[in-house]
Amino acid sequence: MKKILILGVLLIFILGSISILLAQEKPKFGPKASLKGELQVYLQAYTPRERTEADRWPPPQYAWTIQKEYEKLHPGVKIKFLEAVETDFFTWIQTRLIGGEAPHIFWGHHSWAEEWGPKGLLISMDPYLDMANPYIAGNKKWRDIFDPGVLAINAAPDGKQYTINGDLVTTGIFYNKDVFDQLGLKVPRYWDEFITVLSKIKADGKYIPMSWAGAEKEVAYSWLNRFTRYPLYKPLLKEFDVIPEEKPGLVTVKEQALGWKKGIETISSERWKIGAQLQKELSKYWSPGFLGLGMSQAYDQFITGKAAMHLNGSWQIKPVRLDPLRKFNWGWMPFPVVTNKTTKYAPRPGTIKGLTLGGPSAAFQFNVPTSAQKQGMLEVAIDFLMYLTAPKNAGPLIADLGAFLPSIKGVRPAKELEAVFWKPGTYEFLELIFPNPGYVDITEEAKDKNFKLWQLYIGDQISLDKYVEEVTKNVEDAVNKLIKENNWDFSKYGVK
Amino acid sequence: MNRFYIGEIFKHLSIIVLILLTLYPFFFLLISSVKSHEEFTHNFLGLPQLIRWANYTAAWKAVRQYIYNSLIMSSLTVVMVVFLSSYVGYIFARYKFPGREFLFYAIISLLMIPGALTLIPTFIIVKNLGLLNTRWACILPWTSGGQIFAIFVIHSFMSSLPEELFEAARVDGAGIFQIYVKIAVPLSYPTLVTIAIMHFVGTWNDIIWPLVTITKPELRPVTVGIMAFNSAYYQNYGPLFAGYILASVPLIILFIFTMRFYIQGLLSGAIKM
Amino acid sequence: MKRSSLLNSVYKNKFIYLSLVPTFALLLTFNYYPAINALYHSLFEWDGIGYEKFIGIKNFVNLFKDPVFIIALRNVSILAISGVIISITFPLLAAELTFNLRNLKMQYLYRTMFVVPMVVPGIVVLLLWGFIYRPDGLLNNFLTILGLGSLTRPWLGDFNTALFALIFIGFPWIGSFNYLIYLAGLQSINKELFESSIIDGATRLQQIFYIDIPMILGQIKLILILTIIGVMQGYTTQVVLTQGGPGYSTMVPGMYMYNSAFLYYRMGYGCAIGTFLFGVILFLTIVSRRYIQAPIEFGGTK
Repeated sequence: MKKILILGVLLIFILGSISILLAQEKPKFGPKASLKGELQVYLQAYTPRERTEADRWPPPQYAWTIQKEYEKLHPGVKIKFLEAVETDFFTWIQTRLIGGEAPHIFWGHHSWAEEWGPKGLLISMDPYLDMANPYIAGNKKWRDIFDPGVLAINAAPDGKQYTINGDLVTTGIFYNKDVFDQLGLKVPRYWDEFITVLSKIKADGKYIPMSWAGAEKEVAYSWLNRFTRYPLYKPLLKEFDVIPEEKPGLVTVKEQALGWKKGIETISSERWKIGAQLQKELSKYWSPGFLGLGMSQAYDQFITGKAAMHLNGSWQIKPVRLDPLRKFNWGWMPFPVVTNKTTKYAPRPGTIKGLTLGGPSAAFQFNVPTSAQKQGMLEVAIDFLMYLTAPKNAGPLIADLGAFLPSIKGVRPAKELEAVFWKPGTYEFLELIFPNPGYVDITEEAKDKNFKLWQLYIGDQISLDKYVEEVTKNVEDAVNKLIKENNWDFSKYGVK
Repeated sequence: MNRFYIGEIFKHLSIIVLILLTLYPFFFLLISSVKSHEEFTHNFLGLPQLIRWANYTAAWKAVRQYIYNSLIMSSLTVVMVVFLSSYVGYIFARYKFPGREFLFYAIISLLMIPGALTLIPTFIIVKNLGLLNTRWACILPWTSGGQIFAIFVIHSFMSSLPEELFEAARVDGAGIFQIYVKIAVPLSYPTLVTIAIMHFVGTWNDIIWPLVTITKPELRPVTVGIMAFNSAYYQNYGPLFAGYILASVPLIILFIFTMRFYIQGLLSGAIKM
Repeated sequence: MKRSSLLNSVYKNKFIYLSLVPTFALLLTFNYYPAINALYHSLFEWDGIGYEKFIGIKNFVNLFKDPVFIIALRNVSILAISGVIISITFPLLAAELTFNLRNLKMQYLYRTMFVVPMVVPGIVVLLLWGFIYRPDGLLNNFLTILGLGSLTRPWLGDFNTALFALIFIGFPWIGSFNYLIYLAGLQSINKELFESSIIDGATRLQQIFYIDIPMILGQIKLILILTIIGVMQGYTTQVVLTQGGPGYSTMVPGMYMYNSAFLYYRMGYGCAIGTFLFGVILFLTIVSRRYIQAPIEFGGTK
C-alpha cells in the first residue's frame, strides 16, 4: 500500500516535471519561444525612417531599436516595417484584407476593426489578453496593463477585442496668446464665455476668430458633434448604459442601437435640435468659405497668424512648437463646455471640467488579420505585440514620436506633452464615456451621409426640420443594419 | 500692314496665350519644386525668392531606388501592349472571319467598365495567381487593360490603309504573320510609337493599382515612392513636387527622342469613329 | 448547308483564332472575369467580404429611390454635357489656329508646346487647381486686383460654384491627345476642297463650318465618345478635391459607387451603380455612333 502510494507520488512528480519541462522547452510566447518567419508590420505614424532634407523635424526612429532587440531575442524572426501609405490607405488595407494579404500586424482605426472583426477578417485578441505577457515582470494577464475604459471602447459589436491599443490622442483648441493678450481676452471654459471671446475677436476684425476645416469629416463635423452634444447627453448616460454585459460606464454601439429602438432620444427631440443650433451659432465665427477648407489649410491660417484659434489634435503640438512660420506665443485649451446657462439640457458649470476627444484612436492601435494564421505567423505576431506593449518598449516608442499620450499603465508621456496636455482631472475623455451622443456617427455609412447633411444645414441649404428628417432616416437604416448583421436580440428589453 | 498680316498676328497671339495657359501647370510644378515650406505656404503662386535645392536631394533619395522598377514595369507593359495590340488590330482590320465584328465590339465594350467596380475582383485574381508582390501583378493587368484602347487605335489606322499594299503581298504568297511583320508594322510605325508613349506615361503615373498589389518596398514604382512625402502628419510640397519632376525625367528624355513620332503617329493615324 | 459553310470558314481561319488566344486569355482573366463578377453581384446584397444574399433587382429599384443617387446623376449629366461641349470646341479651336498658320516652323513649334504638359501627372494638375480655388488663392487675388472683389468666393466650398469650379479645371482644356486628333483630321482633308470653295467665294469661317467640321466628324465623334466614357466613370477629381461636397453638390455616381463599395460595406449596391453606369455609357455610345454618321470602316478583304 505504502509502495503504491510512493510510486504514485513519484509517477505524478515525474509526469509533472516532464510536462513542465516540455512546456518550458516550447513556450508559445515570450523570450524563450522558438519563433520564426518574416513578420510584416505596419506601424502608421510610428514607422521609423531616416531624416531627409525635406523633414522639418526629426522623424520617429525608436521602432528600429525595438526591432533590433526583438530580433536578438528571437534569431529566427525578421521584423519588416512596411512604409507609410497614407493616401488611399483605407482602399489599400481593405483590398489587401479582403484578399487575405494584409500585413501580419497593421494599424487600423478601431472603428474599422469593429466592422472587420465580426466579419471574420481579424483575429480576436481575447484569448491572448487572458494569458500572461512574458515580457512584463509579474504580469498575470496581458489584459491588466490596459485601461478598462480603453478596452471597453475598442470592443466590437460582437463583444470581442480585435484591436490592441497603446496610445491616446487628445484634442483641443490651439490659440494665439498674443491675440488674446492684445484684446484682453481670457481663456474660455464654458460655452457662453467662448461665444463672448469669439465675438470680441470678430468685432476687432483683424483675425479670423477660429479656423475651421469644414471639408474634413472627422474633425470639423464628427469632433464638433461630440464636443457640443456630450454635455447635453451625459445626463442620459444611465438610461443608455443598460446592457450589463456591455461594459458598464460606457455607452457602446449596441446600447445606442437599443436606445434608439426604445426611443430614449430621437433626432427630432428638442435636445438634438439644440445641439445642431449651437453648432450653427459657432459657425458664424469660422473661416470664410470653411466648407471648402481642408485640415492643412486651416492649420496654415492659424500658424501664419491669420486665425486666432484652431481645433486640432495632440499630434499637431510638435508642428506648432517647431514650425518656423509661427511668430507668436501659443497656448492650448480643452473645448469649452456647454452649461445650463446656455440650455436647460446641459449640467451646471463645474460638473464637466473640460472636454477632450480622441481617446484610443491614435497611431498605436494594431490588428492581426486572420490571414496571419494561415501564413503561420499568428504566434509571432502575438508575441511581438506583447513585446511592443511592454512599458519598457511602448514608453520610449510613444515618447519618441511625441504626438500621442500612452494608454498603457505605468507609461509616462513625453515631457513636452505632459506639460500641456497631460493634466489629469482638468478634462474628461468623453470617448471613454459616451462616444457617440446623438447617434449621428453610429456606423461609417451614417457618419458619411450625415456629414454631408450637416454641410447642407450649416451652409443654409436645408432647414433644421429637413436636416432632422434626413438624419432620422440614416440613423434608422444604420441601426437596422447593425441589428441584422450582428443578430442582436433586444426582446428582453421590451423591443421587438 | 494689310488684313492678312493682322489676321496672322492675331492667330499667333491667340495660340501663344493658349499655350501659356496650357503650360502653366508645368511651370507651377517647376517653381514649387524649389520652394521651402515657408515660402510655399506664404507665396505659393509667385516665383521663389530663395531656391531650395535640398528639395531635390531629398526627393532623389526617395525616388532613386524606385526609378528602375518603374522603368522595368512600364517598358515591359509597353512592349507587350504594342505587340499584342498591333497584331490584333491588324487582324481585325484586314481579315474577314466569322465573329469578327462580335469579337471586336466585345473588346471595345470593355472601355466602358468603371475601374473602381473591378478593383477587388481583379485583386483577388492577381492574388490567386500568386502574382502579388511581383512585378507581374502590375504588368499583366496593365497589358490586358491597355490593349483595349490600343487595339481600337491601331484597328482604326490599319483600316485606313489602301488594300493594294496588302494584296500585292498576298499575291506573292506571304502569310498572315509575314504580312504583319513586313507590311503592317513598318507602315504603322508612328502609330505604334504613339501607343507606346501613351501607355508608358499612363502606367508610369498610375498609383492606386501598384499601391494595392505591391507592398515590398524594393519593388515599388516611383509614384508610390513619392507618396511618402505627402501624408497627414507630414505635408511638404516642395520635395513632393521635386519628386514628381525627377520621376518625369525619364518621360521627358523619352519625349525628346520620340515626340516627333508621337505627333506624327497621331497625325497620320486617321483615328476616328 | 449554311451551317457547314460557317464551320468551314471557321476552320479555314483557325490560325487567326489561334493567334488571338493570348489577347483573349489576358482579357478573360483580368477584364471580363472581374467585370462579370461585378455585374453578377449587382443582384446581391453583398458586403464585399462574406455576407451574400440574392435579392434580384432590388438594388436597382432602391437606386432610383435614393435621393443621393438622383443628385449624383444630375451632377454627372451637367459634367458630361459641359465636358462634351468643351472637348469639341477648345482643342478644335487650337487645332484650327495651328492648322491655319502659314509659317510651318512655328506651326511645328506650337504643336510641340501643346504636347509637353502631357508629362505632368494628373494629380499635380488637380492640386494646382486646388490652390487656385482656395479662398486666398490665385483666382480670388486676381479678381481683387481687377476690382471685382465682390465676386470673390470660396469656389470649392460654395454650394453654387463647386460643380462649376470642377468643370473649369484644366482651362483652356487643350489635352494633347484631343488636339492632335483634330489636327490630324484637318490635315487629312483634301486640299482641293478648300481651293474650289475659295473659287466659290467662301470665307475661312464658312469653310470651317461647311468643310472642316463635316470632314472631321469621325474625329469629333471619337473625342465625344471618349469624353462621355471618361466623365461618366470619373471621380478622381472629387476624391482629390471635394469628396463630393459641400453637401452633395459635386457628388457623382462614380464617387457614390466607390463610397458604397468601400466605405458603407454595400458592395452589391456599388456594383449596381457600376452596372447602371456601364449601361448608360453603352447606350450613349450606340446613340452617338448611330446618329452622327461616319461609321467605323471595316476595310480589307480576303
